Amino acid sequence: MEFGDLLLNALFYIFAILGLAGAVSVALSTNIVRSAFALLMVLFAVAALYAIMKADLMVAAQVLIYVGGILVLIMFAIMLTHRITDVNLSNDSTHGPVAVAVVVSLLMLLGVLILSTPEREPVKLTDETLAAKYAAVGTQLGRDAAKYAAVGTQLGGDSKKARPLIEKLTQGEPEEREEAARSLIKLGLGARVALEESRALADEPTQARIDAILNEIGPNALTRVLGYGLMSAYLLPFEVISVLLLAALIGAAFLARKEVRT
Amino acid sequence: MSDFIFTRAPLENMLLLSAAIFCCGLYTIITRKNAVAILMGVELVLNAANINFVAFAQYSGHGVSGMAFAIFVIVLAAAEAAVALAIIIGIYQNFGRVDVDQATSMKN
Repeated sequence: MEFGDLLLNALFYIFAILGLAGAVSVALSTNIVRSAFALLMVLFAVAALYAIMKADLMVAAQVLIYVGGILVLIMFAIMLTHRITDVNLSNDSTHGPVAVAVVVSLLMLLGVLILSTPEREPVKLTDETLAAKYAAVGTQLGRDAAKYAAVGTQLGGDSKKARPLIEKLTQGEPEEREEAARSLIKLGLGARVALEESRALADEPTQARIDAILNEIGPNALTRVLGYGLMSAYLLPFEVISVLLLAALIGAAFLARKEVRT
Repeated sequence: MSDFIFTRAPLENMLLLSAAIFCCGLYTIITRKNAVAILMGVELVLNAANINFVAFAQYSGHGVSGMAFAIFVIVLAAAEAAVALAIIIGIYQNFGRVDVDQATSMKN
């Protein structure tokens, strides 16, 4: 096992233990402010796990929205819903054998389910596999290939379409090369994988050309792929969730208003 | 050094951890009396589901829909926490306490 894998495994165990300790504290602590800070620890541990899984946008979203928004709201609610003279912010709970039995049996069921599924080839999270995966996103989007062709190539889908263009780029006439270059840029993220593969086999001036096209296409980062995706493939959930946020805004403002007693 | 803790696929470790956090959140929802503590349990459950989504999205070759779903889950959790806390503060202003066992005035 190389050192990188070993380090990632060790980091995973460290943050897993931190997250689990925080979760158990939220469940069992008798002081509600301690529960809230244990929840803070869990949220940060989950953000660290996202970083271990190389999902950079999720780390930022988790820290900004969960810790910086939701947890702050929870602390506000804790402080606003206790009398100011409470010395010990109490957090009663009814520990019963039934609750423990239900939870332990659910945990055992999930454990058996997870551990008994057959072995698959472990996917190493290197940059190459991630790039190939982002390139394949477009092809999974729909059965209607014509409708999703534009979307798919934006999200990095048909690197197959890129291959004949790359052949023209490396071996064709000058006008064909210009046109192939323009089409490759229009193909966008999907061409990236094929371009990177063929860069190794091309000669010097073509390598410079390929570098120029790669610069224009841009990197295959998660933020970029998700950004394109939210505006094309996942547009419907995006719009629906903005309507939901509007409803939540209006609802929360209405619920928290002061009653005017006449 | 013995290799046994490092020979399992990391995906299963992630899933087991998410199952454990889910069960802690479920225990919090079942046993707590304070409404804000129940909301904290709900946040634990949502985070466990998010870990699952992101783990499957990254460890399989099938694209980024898991991660888009995880972002939507985070947004939904924010909206739901805001509305739930507005309700809880309203309950506190009307009843003087946020004990869910005692907020029974609609029961007949």
